[in-house]
Amino acid sequence: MTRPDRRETSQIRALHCALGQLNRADGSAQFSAGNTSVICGIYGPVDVKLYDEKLDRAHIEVKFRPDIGVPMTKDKWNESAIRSTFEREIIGQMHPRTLVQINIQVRQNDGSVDAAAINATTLALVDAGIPLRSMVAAATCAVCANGNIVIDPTQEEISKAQSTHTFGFSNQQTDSPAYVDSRGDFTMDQYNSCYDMCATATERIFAFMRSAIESKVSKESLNEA
Amino acid sequence: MASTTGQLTFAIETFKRIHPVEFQRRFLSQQTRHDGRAFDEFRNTQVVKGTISTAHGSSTVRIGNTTMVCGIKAEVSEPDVSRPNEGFLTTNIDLSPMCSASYRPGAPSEEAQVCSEHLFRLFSGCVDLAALCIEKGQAVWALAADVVCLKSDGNIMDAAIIALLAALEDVQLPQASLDSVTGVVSADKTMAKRLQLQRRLFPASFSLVDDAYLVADADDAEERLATGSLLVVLDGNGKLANVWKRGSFIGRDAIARCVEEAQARRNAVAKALK
Amino acid sequence: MVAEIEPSNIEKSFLLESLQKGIRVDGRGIYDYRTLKIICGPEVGLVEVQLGQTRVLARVSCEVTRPFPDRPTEGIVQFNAELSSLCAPGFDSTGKPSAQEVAITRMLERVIRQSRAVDTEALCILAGEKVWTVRIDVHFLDHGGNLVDAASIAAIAALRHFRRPDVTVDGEEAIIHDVRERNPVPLSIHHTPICVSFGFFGDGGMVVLDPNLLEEQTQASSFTITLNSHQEICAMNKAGGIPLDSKQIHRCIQIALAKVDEINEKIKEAL
Repeated sequence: MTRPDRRETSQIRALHCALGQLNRADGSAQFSAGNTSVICGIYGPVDVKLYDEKLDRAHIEVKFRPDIGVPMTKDKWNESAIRSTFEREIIGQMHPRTLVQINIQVRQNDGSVDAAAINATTLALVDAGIPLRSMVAAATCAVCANGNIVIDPTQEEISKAQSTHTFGFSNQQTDSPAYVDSRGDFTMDQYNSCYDMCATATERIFAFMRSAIESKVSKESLNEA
Repeated sequence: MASTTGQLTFAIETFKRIHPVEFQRRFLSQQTRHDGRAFDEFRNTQVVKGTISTAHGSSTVRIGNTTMVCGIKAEVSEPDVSRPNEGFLTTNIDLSPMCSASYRPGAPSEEAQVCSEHLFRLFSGCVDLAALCIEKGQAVWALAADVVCLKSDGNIMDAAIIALLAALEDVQLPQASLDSVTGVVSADKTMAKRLQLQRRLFPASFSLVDDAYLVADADDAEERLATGSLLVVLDGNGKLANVWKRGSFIGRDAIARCVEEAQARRNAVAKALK
Repeated sequence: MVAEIEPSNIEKSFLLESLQKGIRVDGRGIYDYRTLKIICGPEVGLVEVQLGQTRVLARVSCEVTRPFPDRPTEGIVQFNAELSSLCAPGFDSTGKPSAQEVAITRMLERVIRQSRAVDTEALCILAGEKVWTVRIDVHFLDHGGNLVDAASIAAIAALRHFRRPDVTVDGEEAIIHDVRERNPVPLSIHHTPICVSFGFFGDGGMVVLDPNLLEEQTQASSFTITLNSHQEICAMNKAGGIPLDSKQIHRCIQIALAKVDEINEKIKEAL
């Protein structure tokens, strides 16, 4: 069976990203995989509310806004997922008593939006110059009704899937995932296959992120010279 | 207990209070836990069904000191236009200051919202929404599940999932029919029917304490020091329904081991549910 | 709390002194609009507008719902615009919205929803049973001044770009065709109201078109006219600030009329 968009099962959609497009934010990135597109803007380190102030590290706040409708509990869930992933990646001890605010706006959701949000956040944090321990990239797999495993599923594929699996990996730790969300009806074998497929896909995404950052930095240094 | 021999001496309670991290480390480094459990040992779990007579389905669950009550109210409502023969299931969890000093009164905290959303995502595939239809396009049952935490001593997610499962299994829906002339739904309570679940869910939570020790079913003191968490949910056939890991890195093999421990835990929970 | 920083006195006085000589800080003529870029797609009803440094995203979507009981033959238009913390520091969607936020969202609501741009009767599928609810979500990405104009252009362009699934009614049953089965249809739109904003400085003698962020923070009063392509005025807004000469208003209307034509051309090109 071929996929609706005629991709191979292990083929991710075309990646696209743009760094530093927003003027007001301290760092920003737009990350797209096919039609799924997310824009992330970072403010930080900035003033923190007294209530949130932490004496030894920066407070991390995530705002997740969907493309359609007002933010609801499902978006709170995403905020919490992204915060828990990046709370340990951001070296908050370098900026105690401050706030790092991660604002995520979904432009279009055509499946695998959680992974796209994580990827956009990593790029935006790098663009903002927030000190990071490592970079995180994420990918999603879906197990179809016929048992086929497809990477980077579209919304249509997710709605028909038996289970979906999102894995986030750090570029420093290859044997332990930074984020896992597998849901549906699946076996341990399927989980393991999805793990391997996502791990391979994130390697490609890391390479893509690296080249995007390199080209931006080299452009900036040319302008300065 | 002395921190360094011959220098300072504290009562054990004092030590626990002033240096909780070191206190826990002393136990964990000896491969044991402060309440005497092994790393993979879950606390005693008790389930009682039908504890609230005014609800259509209810349960009380205790995992150690963590106590959770779930009540399900069924109400007749109009279905969604795009899904005319499907009922509704809504989930809500209440983490009030009553159950722990770390919760504030007022609007639901992020933790509560994430927890209710996760419950919804898990259970929306377990209830056959089409079975909640009374009259296509006219009337359906809307099940509102309220989980209330009475005492929080860690691992509220497991307790909430078990409580919700037990309460759903306890739901008895009256035989309802729609009078097409008056448009009134009448319910016959003497002809109550039990709700059939498509899937049963058995949770097992693990916490990474102090970035080094992976323990099952952490209590409040351990959860405060946790840097990562892992939730494994299995269904009645032993297949996986959810693997949800957040926070610090947990190795791939460690996650696989936790899934195996969750299989053992599934049998214990299934027994408690009987 | 992240707070918006007010411009310094030096910046303000520099801006005013330059303006007295007819020069704007960003080099524009006083009646020049900033570069307007309208990007449509890839999805229908998704439009991004870039007006200088201001960026706004509009997303139109639809679903089948029940009509309001008192208007059984009319579809529903929902409008949502919130200033998120993404577009500028200091906006907080969780707390109480600031006066500025309320002013902007109220203005847009008036322009898009209350000017009845969308033909709601054409959104009816089965009277009293099923209607389309069209949702317009406006997301502000970057605040570089004059959010209202950019948002109105984005919303109108998105409404015109949007296509909803086709429906056929067979007796009591409505069949909604998948977009792959049958070509989706555009919305029926009465007119296309577009906002044009001016900023006034000093005692009202100095005026600029399309104020940028610094000008917006310095201006003594603002004035927004909403016009459609038939040269009709749909809404006007001058909330507070210094009193203005009525002749000024007349002149602004003349300028706005010309600008709206240009903007409508741009939208047509982008579509």
